[in-house]
Amino acid sequence: MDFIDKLAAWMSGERRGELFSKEEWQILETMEEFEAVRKRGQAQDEVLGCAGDANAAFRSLEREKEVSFRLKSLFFTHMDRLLADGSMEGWMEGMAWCNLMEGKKLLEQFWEFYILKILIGVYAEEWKVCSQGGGDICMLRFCSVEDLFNGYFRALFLLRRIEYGIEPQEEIVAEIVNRGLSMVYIDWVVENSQIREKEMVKGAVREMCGSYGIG
Amino acid sequence: MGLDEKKICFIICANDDLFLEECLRYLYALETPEGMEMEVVEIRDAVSMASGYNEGMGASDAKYKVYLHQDVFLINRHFIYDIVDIFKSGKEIGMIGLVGNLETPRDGVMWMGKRVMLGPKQEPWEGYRYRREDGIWDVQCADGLLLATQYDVPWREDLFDGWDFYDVSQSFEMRRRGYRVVVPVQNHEWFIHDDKMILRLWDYDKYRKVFWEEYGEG
Repeated sequence: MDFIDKLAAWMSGERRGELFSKEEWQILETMEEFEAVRKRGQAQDEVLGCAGDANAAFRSLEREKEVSFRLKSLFFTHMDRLLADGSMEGWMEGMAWCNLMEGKKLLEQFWEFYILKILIGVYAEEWKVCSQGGGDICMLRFCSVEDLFNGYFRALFLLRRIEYGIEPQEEIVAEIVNRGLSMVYIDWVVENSQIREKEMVKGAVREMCGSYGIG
Repeated sequence: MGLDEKKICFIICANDDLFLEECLRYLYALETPEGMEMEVVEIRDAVSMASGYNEGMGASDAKYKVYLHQDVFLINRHFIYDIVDIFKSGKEIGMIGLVGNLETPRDGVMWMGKRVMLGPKQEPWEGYRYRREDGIWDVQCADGLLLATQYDVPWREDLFDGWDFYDVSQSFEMRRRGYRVVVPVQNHEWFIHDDKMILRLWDYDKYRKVFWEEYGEG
């Protein structure tokens, strides 16, 4: 049974122990605990007649704080395991977990989850291009969540230097070469970040790479 | 300590070298008025923003101090010229922010109030220069992403021992002393703020209550 099928079985109420590993069960059980906390809190607010008021966000954060941090820790530790061997299977499972969390809106309050979703988008796009016969999947070179985030912010900062003329601008070329970054990666970061002159930056990167005979 | 009006000091509480290094890159690209000296004070391992900023304040004799987050990148190359000019335009101006609230929201949730930053007529980045006639807003509180001062007023680390409300508190402390808190009308953004797009509210409510106890109706 592949992982997606296992998740589907779990969502239909299947709870056989051998379906998942110990770590995966811990995540799933914590998710269920989180949802129960959230549901109880919402019911309480309804009874008190203060559901949806200005303080609702703070009340739910207070109630959910402990379990949400615990879930975050379990989730990202598991993501580290999945990314460690740089395999497509690991990434596919990571995508499935991410989609599950996103669907249940359990980690939306963490910036790490927001960035991870952007990078999962890169993986999906690179996989599409690769399966059509063009290019490597550079995301497979990132073997931990920390490495993913450092790589993302470093690329973002280097790209933004082009927009605002901050030197050295050509450091992005070295980053592309050293990390083996694809133009899919670069374009995705540009499109999903606070860069305003997106086409200018994408064009400038291609020109710089071209002048070094890259890509 | 006598303050040097030919000096401007950028004070940053830092815990991420990748962000800090990039923030500094933009600071060092700023145009510095002739005769003016720029310095940077990094505060590491601050237990709170207010205490970190007090430490930074004590470490510099610059008259003009700019307290900013490590994830703020100043793209307005004439920032130093512009804020010094605004300060010189009125001795009663105590603090300049880049985003502010005209009024403090009654429930203390700052982002739910009317916020000001961008002017009505946006200009392209190339050739943009702030002019006095673009104007300034008087605000009740300014956002802590960047706060510039021309007077040293202690930050309330006794009340705000975390990472929220230190900015609103400082705005009120300035106004208690009779100073104005202003935000320049920006016809192009002066900064990029990579605050990772997510509001971190974990301790917000705790400090919101402290704020109202101290400053009441404001």
